[in-house]
Amino acid sequence: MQLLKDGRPAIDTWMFLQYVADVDDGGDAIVALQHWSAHRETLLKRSGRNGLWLSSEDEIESVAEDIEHFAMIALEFSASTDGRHYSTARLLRERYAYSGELRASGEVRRDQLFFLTRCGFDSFLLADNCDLEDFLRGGNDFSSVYQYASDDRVPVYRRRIGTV
Amino acid sequence: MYQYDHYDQQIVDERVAQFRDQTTRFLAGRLSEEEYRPLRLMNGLYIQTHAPMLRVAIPYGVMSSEQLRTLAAIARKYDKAYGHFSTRQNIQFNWPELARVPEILSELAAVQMHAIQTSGNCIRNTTCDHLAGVAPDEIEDPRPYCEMIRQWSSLHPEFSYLPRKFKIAFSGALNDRAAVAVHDIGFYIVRNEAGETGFKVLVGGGQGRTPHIGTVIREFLPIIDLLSYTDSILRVYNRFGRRDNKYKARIKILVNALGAERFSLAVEKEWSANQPSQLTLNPIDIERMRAHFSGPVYESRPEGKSIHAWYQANTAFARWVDRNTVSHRIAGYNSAYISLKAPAAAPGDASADQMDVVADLAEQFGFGEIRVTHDQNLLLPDVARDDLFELWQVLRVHELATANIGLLTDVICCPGIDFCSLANSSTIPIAKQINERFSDLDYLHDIGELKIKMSGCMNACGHHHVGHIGILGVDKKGQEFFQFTLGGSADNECTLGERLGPAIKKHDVAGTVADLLDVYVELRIEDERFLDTFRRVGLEPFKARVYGDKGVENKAGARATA
Repeated sequence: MQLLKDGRPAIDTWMFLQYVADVDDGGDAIVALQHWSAHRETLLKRSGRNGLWLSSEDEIESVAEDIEHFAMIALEFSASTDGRHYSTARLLRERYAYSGELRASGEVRRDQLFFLTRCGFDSFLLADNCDLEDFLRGGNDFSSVYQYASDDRVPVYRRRIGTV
Repeated sequence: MYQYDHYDQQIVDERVAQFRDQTTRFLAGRLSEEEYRPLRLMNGLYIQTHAPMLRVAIPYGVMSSEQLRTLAAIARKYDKAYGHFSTRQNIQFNWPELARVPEILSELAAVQMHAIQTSGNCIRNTTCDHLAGVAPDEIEDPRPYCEMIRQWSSLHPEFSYLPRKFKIAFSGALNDRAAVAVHDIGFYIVRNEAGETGFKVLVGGGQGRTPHIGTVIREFLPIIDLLSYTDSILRVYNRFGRRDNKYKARIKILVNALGAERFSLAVEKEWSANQPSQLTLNPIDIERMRAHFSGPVYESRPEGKSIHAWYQANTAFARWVDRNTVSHRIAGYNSAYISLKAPAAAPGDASADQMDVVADLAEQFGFGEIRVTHDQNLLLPDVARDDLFELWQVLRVHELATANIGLLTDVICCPGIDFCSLANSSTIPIAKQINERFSDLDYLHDIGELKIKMSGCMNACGHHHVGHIGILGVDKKGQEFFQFTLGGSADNECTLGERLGPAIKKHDVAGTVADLLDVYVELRIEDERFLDTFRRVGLEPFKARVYGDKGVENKAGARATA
């Protein structure tokens, strides 16, 4: 896999913990929601940073109280057409004021990039054969927008104010 | 009507560039069929029986003469010189070549048109009362709100990959002419006790294989909350709508599963959590949008004597005036329907030449504006009554003056198996069969208002559930049969049709309609419409006539095996 972070190729420092919770080598560890719930106390004692992985089915509300403990949250797209995590991302950024890394993984493609970025994703885990330069072009598809989202773009109807 | 500023133009131009690039990548093999599919659908492009079908948005059914001429030019240059107007007030081209679709889109963009979200699992073209702004029974013009929704929903970063398609409709009048109650969200403009206007909000209406009438979840939504509240509905749907089964993915299934009350609570909770919302409209947002629709300045056009003289002297003209024109909020004016249901025509189709004629007429007898109705006809909103005779004469030459608006030959009809790869049966030949059988104008006018709506498959694009007579094409072992429903209506008292009985053989469809009408004529009281008679007497007398005294099952069995 290759990782793009803040628009640049990056090294993925996160290790996915699947069966154990007591790995504490000071490194970055990411766990699935169920794993977090089952081993929360142990994971909180780690000296390294914690991350959370959510499947398409997982709802962010179930860890609403814990969001401050995560330095990274990865949202899985089981299909490129499954749009649930666009909402999850906005909730994290706008309702829960989450400011850590927000990663899109799974079926993530160039033509979603503009929307994903607008909803607050800043890192993308991509297949090895993905052409990164081509992928990044998707982020420049539009120079104006009609909606507020998690980025700082102002919708055009508000930019028109004063020009009646 | 709404005019793009440089922002709107830029967004549409960039969408054309984006789609051109996607199509180039697909044709070069860099995007797979599976990857390209949702992208092309989100831009109204289907792969159909003969060729790709391109659906172009006509936002809330309003277009200018210039736009209609461009559609005509596109029909000539890229298609077979005709287009099909749909029940979402859009137009469809059936024969474009995939590689040339980006070119079509850029020609559309040059006249402020696009195909954004005319298909796909996203928010579709918002539909609206075709008499918006001109109807005498209007509380407030809904078009400014339609345009707000159009902009807000276009290329929405959060709601472009919904569980299923999503349709929104508005009515600002006392009489619902927009089938509002059978939409995913329906907005009725209403007035509260303080005299302020706002929206009555319905959710979870829809047709398809599980038809539902929308449920009211807000009796009065202040105008300033239009976008924030719609946003909350969409977020609840995007997160919790079913994605495991595409037949259960519409919002109506979610509303039904949760119950209207729990669904409504979920929306209110989401909405409250977002307060204060950036989406709350400022007075200036509303004012500026309303200014786009402040409408033409009407000259005083008192009725001359000639209109009355022609009305007296010419029965065909009088019939057309009675059937195809309606009152206007300005004295001396009418709105005039242009029927796209001429006897030999496929319902909703218009030739490029006809489109040009209508575009010219809209300038000559109006302010250069044309409306598309959800019944698949066109409308000139502002015709001085004194000009009606002249207008009618031109329409007649171009087979656009069929005096059948709201009558039984004004059939709503999807394209059916002849064009659509989803269809199970033909529909256009059935419409033709009905037209041939009921060619006697006196009879049609005597029968009066009757809405026949026909779909070639369960997807119900032809709105059969809400037809006074609904006809659904079904496939039985490779043979086409037609399932009748009676008593549906998309008006204020929205009802879903009741199933008449076993499906009817193809060549018996018009005969069955005749049987139903015989029963109606025998049982009707005074001016009662077919729908009213049905509501009063119920299904039984109709059933008995169609399936006979031998008992429904025997007769149906005989028909099915005949």
